[in-house]
Amino acid sequence: MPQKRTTLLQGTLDLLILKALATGELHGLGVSRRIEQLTGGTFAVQPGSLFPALHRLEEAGWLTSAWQPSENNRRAKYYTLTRAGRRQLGEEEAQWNRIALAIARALEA
Amino acid sequence: MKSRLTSLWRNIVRSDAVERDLDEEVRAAFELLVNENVQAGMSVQEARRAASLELGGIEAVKQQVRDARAGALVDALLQDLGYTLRALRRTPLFTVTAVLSLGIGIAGTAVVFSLADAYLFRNRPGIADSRRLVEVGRTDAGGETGFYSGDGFDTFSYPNYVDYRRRQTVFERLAAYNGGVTFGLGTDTSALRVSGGYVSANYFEVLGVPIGLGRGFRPDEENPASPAAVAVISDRLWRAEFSSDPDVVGRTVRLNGRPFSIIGVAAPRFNGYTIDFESLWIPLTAYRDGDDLRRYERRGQQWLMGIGRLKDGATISRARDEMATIAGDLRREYPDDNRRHGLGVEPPGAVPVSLRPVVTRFVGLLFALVAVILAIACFNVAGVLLARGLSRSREIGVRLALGAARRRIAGLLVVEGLVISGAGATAGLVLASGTIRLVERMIPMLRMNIVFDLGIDWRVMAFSALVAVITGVACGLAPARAAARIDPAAAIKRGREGERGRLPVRSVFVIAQAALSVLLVVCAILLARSLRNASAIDPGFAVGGLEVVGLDLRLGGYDTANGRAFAETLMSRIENLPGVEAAASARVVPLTREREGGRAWLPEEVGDDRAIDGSQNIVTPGYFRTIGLTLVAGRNFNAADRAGSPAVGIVNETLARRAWPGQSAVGKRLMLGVSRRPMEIVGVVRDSKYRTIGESPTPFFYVPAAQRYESIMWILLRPGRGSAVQEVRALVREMDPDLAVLETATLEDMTAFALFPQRFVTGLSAIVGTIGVLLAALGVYGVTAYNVSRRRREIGIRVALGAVRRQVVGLIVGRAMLLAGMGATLGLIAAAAVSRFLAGLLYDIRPLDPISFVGSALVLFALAFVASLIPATRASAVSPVETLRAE
Repeated sequence: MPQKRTTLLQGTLDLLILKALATGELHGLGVSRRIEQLTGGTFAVQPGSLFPALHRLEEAGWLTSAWQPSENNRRAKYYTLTRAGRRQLGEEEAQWNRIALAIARALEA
Repeated sequence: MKSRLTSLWRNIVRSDAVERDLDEEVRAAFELLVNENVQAGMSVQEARRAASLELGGIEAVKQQVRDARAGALVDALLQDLGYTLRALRRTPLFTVTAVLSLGIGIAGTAVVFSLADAYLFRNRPGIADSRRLVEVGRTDAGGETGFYSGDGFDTFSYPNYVDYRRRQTVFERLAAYNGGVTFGLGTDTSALRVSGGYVSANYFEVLGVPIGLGRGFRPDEENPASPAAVAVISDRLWRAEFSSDPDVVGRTVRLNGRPFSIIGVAAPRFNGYTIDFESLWIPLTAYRDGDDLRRYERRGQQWLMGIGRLKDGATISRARDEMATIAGDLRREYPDDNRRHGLGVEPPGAVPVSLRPVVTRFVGLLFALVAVILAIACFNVAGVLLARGLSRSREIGVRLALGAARRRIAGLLVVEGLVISGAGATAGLVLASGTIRLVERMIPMLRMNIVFDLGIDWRVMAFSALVAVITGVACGLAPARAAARIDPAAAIKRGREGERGRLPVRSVFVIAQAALSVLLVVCAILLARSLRNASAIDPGFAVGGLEVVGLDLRLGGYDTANGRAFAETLMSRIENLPGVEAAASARVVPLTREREGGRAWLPEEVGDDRAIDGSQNIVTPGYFRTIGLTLVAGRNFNAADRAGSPAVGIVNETLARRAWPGQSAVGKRLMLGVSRRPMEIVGVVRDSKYRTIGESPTPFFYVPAAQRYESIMWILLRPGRGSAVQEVRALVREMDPDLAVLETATLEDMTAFALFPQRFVTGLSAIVGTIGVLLAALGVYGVTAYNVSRRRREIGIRVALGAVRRQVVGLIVGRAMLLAGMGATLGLIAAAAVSRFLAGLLYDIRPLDPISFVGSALVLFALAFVASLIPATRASAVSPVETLRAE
């Protein structure tokens, strides 16, 4: 689908991934689709950035993964938020809000 | 954090499982995508295509994940390492050559650094906490009047020392010493010559040297009024001469004939503070001797150096200020003796302060030499790596197309350089330690008793590692940069990357190598020719077949009266030994760079401008016969010439011509020395060389030993058959068991030593020059082979069009010779600039000697010719069809 490919910072990608998994476990592709859905189509994350990010977050301890059967009856790796991940999500959300507020204020002035 | 560590561990240790996991995950994602597309209505084919477009390539995604993983860097490094090792193993010739050439270069830097470390950076062994130690010495305080004698940092007198010690507040303790003194040590079983020092009572405390056995000196043992005859010996001496006897404390030995009691053995590894290897120490005031007593009382007699241990919190600059003030006070109180006497404070070191600039310069020179070799080797390796990198450009293009980051490709090439230099450094350290051991074995030849504590310690290894890293990165940089600029599509299609620029990098390397090696070869040839000239000079007497035994009667405690008697008896008994054909004694052995100066005047002349400045020797009558010098007029010394009879002398032809041109010198008189002692000339002897082989004719005269007593006597022997040295030694031992023999050698060896600096430098530069020029030739070979391989198609076409083999070879070799020519020109220019620094070492040769310059250019051309001929002939021999087809 022709989308405007707005560039995404690494930190924001992490935030979106954590948010996408907040409601339940997903495999890699599923995360990508969920992010598209959550952002109303603005962000379509390329697999080349998504998978490394998923692995990185897993290594940081915010996600865990497990092999499970997927919708086409093959195995896929499903990611879940850990408790630490949930905490991290909360922190990053708060951080993002602070930034957004500050920028909004700056733009109004 | 913990999670990251566990992941790192898993990635490294269970990498296979992790890889399989990743592969499965990405493929699963792909299949899911396909599924999605099929569900959306595409055909399976379309679905797969769309899916792969969206995914972006399974391998690429996997690689992205790998790069982001913990341990990615380590992983990449290990991968590169493995690849490099395999690649290097496939081309063993290149690998060995590269490793060896870098190894030689790094070995050189390691050895020189070890030298610098031992003499400039490290401190003497056995000393504790040297950070608070400082050296104290006399400096020139300047001033309008008066004459200052001494170096920039020199000795001071005992009364001054006592005042310094009393007045200072900045040191915990201030010690003084007079080191590197030769003593004759007589034990019950042997007599030997050792180096030792006079030290103040607090010496060992200041240096922080514990006394292993017994005790150090007490303060009351440093007392001019009642000298204590006690000694502390070194651990080394204790083991060597006293067999580690635990009861050595209390034993009596004879030092220069006087009895001393051993009161202690110093801790191991301590050999004194000076550069000599000291074996024993006695109190400053230990010697009561007619002469020596004066040196405690005379404020003007300088013979001590100082070492101080700073108090906690005191700095060197505070010490400098305080000592300068004290020195100023003393200058005012004693305006004559302490005229211009300042005090300096310097940090401690392995080498005395006055020698440090010389040593630094020498080491700097060595470093320059070694750095040139390393540079040549680096150019070699860099050039070859460049060539290999470029010839792999197709492979690199493929990698880039598959998604490898340019940085990683460049990284791979740098790793290659580092691996080679790492291996080179290892080889180099092995080579260096071997070289050091060789050097250590040469030290006794130097006849110097200095401490040589060279070794490969951690500092040398760290330095070599640093050099290796710099070298490796430098070597890998050029190919890495070239590789980073490769355009993948073009590289894959064309199979090689064209070199940009009119003068390709590699050729520049070769020119640089050629220039550097020509520089080295010019120096080597200059020095070699000079040495040959030196060896060809006729000394004027027979050097071969003579042996020398050296004695210093002072070490046996002899004074003028009984020394003279002893010497006469000894010489007459030696002359009667069965194994001795001829013998004589002399004060100076010719051609050993030693000189006893002599000033004389014609009786009717006075004044400095009319003085005859020459040299002299004090000899027994048998001297001229033993050494083979012919008398051309008058008579030899005889038994009638003794103490009490009129003073006589024999002059050489140069002096005779100078003083009495056109007349016979026999019967004439000379006035010797400031006191103008009259001397009658009884004979004239043929000229010869006296001090160095390259000297110009100099006035010389001989004085009979019977009329002038000297405690140092060199006995020259012409043995009847074989060697007579042992007989003479036995005779000396029999006559006086406590008299130590200074040394024994053949005259040839002793005179050869005089040429040692030249020999050493010549040998070194010959080795360095050979290595350099061989490496350069290797470089020429490499670049020619590379150029040939690049122009195969062109060569094939030429041959197909009818070019004769010879033309092709000529073309290739011509190009190589052009490079060599450019390099040689640069090198000769550099050599012309540098060679005048060698002027001091050259005999009879101008620094711009044309034969040396032309010769070295010829050497380079010859080697370059051969080196380029080989690949050229090989290339021209291949059939054109093959070359064209292979493209």
